[in-house]
Amino acid sequence: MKKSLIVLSIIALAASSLFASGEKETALQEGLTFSNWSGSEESSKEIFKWMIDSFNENQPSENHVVQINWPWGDTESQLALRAQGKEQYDIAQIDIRMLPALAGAGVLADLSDIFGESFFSDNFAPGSISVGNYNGVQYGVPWTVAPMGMIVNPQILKDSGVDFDIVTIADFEKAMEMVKNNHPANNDSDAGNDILPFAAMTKDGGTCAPDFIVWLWTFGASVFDENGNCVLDSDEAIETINWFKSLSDRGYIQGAMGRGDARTLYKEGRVAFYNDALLAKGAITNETFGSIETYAKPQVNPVLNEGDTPKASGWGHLLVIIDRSPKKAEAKAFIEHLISEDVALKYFDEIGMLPSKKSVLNSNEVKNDYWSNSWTPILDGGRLAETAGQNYSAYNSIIVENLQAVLSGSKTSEKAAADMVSRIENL
Amino acid sequence: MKTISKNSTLMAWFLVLPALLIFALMILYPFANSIFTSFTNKNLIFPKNDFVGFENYIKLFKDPNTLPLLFTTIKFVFFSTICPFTLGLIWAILMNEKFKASEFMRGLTLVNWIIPGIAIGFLWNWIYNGDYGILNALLNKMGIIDSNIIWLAGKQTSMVAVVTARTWQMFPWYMAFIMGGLQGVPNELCEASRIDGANNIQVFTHIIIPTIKPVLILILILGTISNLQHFDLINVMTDGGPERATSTFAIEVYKKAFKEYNLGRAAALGVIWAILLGSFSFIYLRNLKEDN
Amino acid sequence: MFQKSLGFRIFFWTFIILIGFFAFFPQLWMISTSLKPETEMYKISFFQNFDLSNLNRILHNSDFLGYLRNGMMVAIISSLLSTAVSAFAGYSFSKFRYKGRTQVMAIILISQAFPQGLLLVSLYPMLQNMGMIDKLPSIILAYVALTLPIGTWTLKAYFDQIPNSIMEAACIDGASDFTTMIKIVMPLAFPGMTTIAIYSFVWAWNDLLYALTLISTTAKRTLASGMIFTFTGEGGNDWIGMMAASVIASIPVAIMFVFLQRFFVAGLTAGAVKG
Repeated sequence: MKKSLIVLSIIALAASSLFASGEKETALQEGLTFSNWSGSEESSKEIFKWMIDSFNENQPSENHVVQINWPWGDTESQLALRAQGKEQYDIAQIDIRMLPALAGAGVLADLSDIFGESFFSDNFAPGSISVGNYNGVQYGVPWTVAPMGMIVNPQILKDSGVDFDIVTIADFEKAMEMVKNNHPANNDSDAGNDILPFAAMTKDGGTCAPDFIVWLWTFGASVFDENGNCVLDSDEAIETINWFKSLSDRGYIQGAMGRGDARTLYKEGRVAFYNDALLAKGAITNETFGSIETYAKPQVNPVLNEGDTPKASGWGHLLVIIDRSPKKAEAKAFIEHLISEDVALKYFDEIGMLPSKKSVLNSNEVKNDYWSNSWTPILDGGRLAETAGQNYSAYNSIIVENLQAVLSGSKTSEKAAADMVSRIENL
Repeated sequence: MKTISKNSTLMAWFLVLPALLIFALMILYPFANSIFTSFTNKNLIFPKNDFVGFENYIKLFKDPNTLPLLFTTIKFVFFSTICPFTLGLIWAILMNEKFKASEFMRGLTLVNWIIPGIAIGFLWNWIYNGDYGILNALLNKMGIIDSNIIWLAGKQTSMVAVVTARTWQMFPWYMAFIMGGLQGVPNELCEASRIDGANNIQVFTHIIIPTIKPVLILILILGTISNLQHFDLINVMTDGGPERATSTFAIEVYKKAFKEYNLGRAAALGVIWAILLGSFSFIYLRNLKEDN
Repeated sequence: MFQKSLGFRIFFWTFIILIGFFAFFPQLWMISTSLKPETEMYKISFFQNFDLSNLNRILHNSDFLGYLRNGMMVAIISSLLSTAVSAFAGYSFSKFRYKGRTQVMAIILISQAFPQGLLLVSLYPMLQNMGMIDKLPSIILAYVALTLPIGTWTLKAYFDQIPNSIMEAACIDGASDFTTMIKIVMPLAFPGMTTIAIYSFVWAWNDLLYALTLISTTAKRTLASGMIFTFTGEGGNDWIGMMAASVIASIPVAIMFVFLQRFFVAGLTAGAVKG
């Protein structure tokens, strides 16, 4: 009897706990639901909590904002899944590269109705407005928009004897060569402190393809032409691929390099050049090297010929409203709170995220900050990666796999280019 | 056998009911739904859902990446089963010697199995890292190499890295099962054969292996199935790369569904896989000694 | 079992060192990393400068402790439920004969063939309609379902080995079917049930995909998805934190294991040998 009682009571306990944990959750259905990833990442957790609490203080409880979080990498799919369902969902933080797919899926609200046309042109620079726009409709309010840049380590360059500015590709190659051959750390017997000239992205589609697309633009090539045909087999594109391969042959770049790996290496003082967005500051700060100006200087990408405009990959965070939300007016209030001067400046103070409103960007705090100053002049220079959209992941995978094949020698540049075109067209 | 009374059949169905309900809800329904989806162009985030016949299957057969996918999966599953199995077997033999620290070491080994998979992935990523990984540092110090090998960039070496991580994670499990089997080997049999003059290897091959054969077969099959489904470590370490060198069915289905949002294609791939695996399971079923 | 011949001794010591190194060095590395000050993170050093701040940071991270708690609760409940359901079903398959039995068994076994990630895609809208998204019961249900095939088949094998004579004797003594099952047969299969309980526990403990997709509130997250959140992100990965968290997360389960492993291995002994 005893044993059966035990078994039955365990099962009953388990069953009742299923129902018990169900009850607590109904409270979540009220208020405003704000999805994001930064709110649960260590570095930004506190500031997000403050931003939300400071809004909720002045709101009746039925308009309180509640967060839900997903990792950055899963945001696009999770957002769409949730938006297609029935749970409360009002505002979201998204990456600008997620906008085309989400807008195309029809889950985002048209903001010009909610905010009015002039709201955007009054408050934001044209470059920032355009990244929130898809097919002529404004879906996103810029929260932080800045292009990705080339982060350079001036100390390493100095120790390698590089005393010129990196303006053209030729300068870039010369500098990399000097780092590889002349830097003392590369000439000692210890392989454990070798310096990699350029930590180019070569590991996964999401980082490798958008970065490589910038080089395509630099060489005058592109992924698609005006009619939407894939032109990765153009002469300029093949030239870019050949150039990239030559960097690998000369030992300037490495395989299996992801953004996290690059940041780690950079922080250890073992990378001379790499591409990143402004939020990398926290990841690459190393107090033992002294102040950040000595080891990290953001600049524009090198150009093919002198006089060309430097190309850059657009990066940033947008705030969007979910189309089926019944609380759009309240959502608007929350967004305005987030981009307001007080909140935006505190966000900037805490983790260095540049404000988006023109007026706030002009404030002294932003202007006097070394890191931000490197980005503010080039704020409008970013262009959204061509692969963004419904097939973002598929296109990126095709590009990175073929690029890896060229680097490893399995395919020639011409074959890789042809394969990329045929796979993209046959998707 | 209690087959006669009606009550018993009722009882039998009653017992199986919870499993059936859960199974029907959580596995059967999604499975059937996926078969249906494989004939559509359903998309995870876009509101598309039209019937497209066999288009997904045709595109998969035409795709040059599909066949290598099969080979890569077989390669991964084979090595990820054999390696921990072998290590587990040897370790079980060693632990079975019941020396002073053996129980403690046994428990400590099992810890590998319960460390969260993502932590194991990151740990081995770190060990295999080309620039600051400890593997390269050790090889360097021992003079075996003089410049860093970028393990995760090579097609073969990345598979080695992933299989190593999976082996490290799973060999405790094999060890535990085999130890159970070893402890069930009757000592009298061993002693008897020693009296007949058998040495260690003969005892091993003629007595131990045949006795524990059912266990070995069981865990090889369970391990194979588990590796076929395995996703976490590869996802964290290489995400199927480089050049799809570590891309298995599980990884590919996940990518197609959750990254490329192509549910129809993912479902078709899943159905093909299910047919392949179903045949494998069917063969296992046939080989099982059943009294019916 | 083995004679301590010279050959065996060489075998023993070679592999104790090799496999021991393979098994325990990474563990040591993990622990050592979690104790390192951040500046030394990538240096190849062991236990040189003790820095407990990482472990401290994790222990004071209330979110992380929540993940541990949720993970433990979900894993224990999934394990108990899965064992119970598998045991009942396994018993039914083993000790009864009825029409449809082999078909049901076959379907449950073959279901292991289907990619679990794909099941999730169809499960999500279904759970959405039932209002079960972001509720812990949904992943518990999923874990039970996913461990059901192996559970039912393994326990069926265990029950198969318990001779029918025991059950017949109980019947003669006047016990009902149910009583026979609970009081007599199941205790005999207890080692097997422990095996399945541990298997389901580890499954639920380690799962990432389902936990990540079905649960989105921080307060309800389980360990694996919580760790992805806390230690990887857009702005960078926190390696030391992750190693420290892994050490801390592994301790309770490791203690459990050191105690329970006797049952685990014993369970694998009894019955499994005869297969």
